[in-house]
Amino acid sequence: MIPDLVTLTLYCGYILLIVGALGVIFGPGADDPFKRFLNMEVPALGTSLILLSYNHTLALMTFLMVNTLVMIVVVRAIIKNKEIGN
Amino acid sequence: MYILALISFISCIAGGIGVILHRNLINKIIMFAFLEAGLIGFIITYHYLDVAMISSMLEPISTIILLLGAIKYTYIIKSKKKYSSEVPILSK
Repeated sequence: MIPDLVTLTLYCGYILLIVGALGVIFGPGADDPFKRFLNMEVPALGTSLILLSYNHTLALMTFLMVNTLVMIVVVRAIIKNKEIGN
Repeated sequence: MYILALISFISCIAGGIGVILHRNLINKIIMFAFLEAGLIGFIITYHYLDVAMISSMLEPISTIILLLGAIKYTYIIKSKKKYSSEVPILSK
């Protein structure tokens, strides 16, 4: 009844990827850039779950690290863009 | 069989739906931390403890960055003036 571990992880990643992509495009409150960026973290985590289910460990580690480093830059850019007055 | 994997699955799905459906920024960040906890549970079920170490060190960093950014963003939106700094009559 319960699927094995690889299938469970793979389908969890697919569900997060599809639901997150639809949420980024027309989710509630997606006209605000900070909320849209927070919605965009959901498909990134789905991608990392798919990488985990294929046992790509090095790719998963690099993806998590670069995702955190990019988050610093994007949050700073959103705040600067709002300060300028756009 | 894999109880931790089932709990992580429920945590991932609930966190993903919660991030998208909530409208307040602090609630969205809290649900995002919930989602990342599900990812760490999945990694531990696969016995990749080095990846779990890296992931559990990076997850609080991203949460702290998002919280600081959300506070500053809310402050900028609240303190924004309705008109520009110039008086609109004099700018003509």
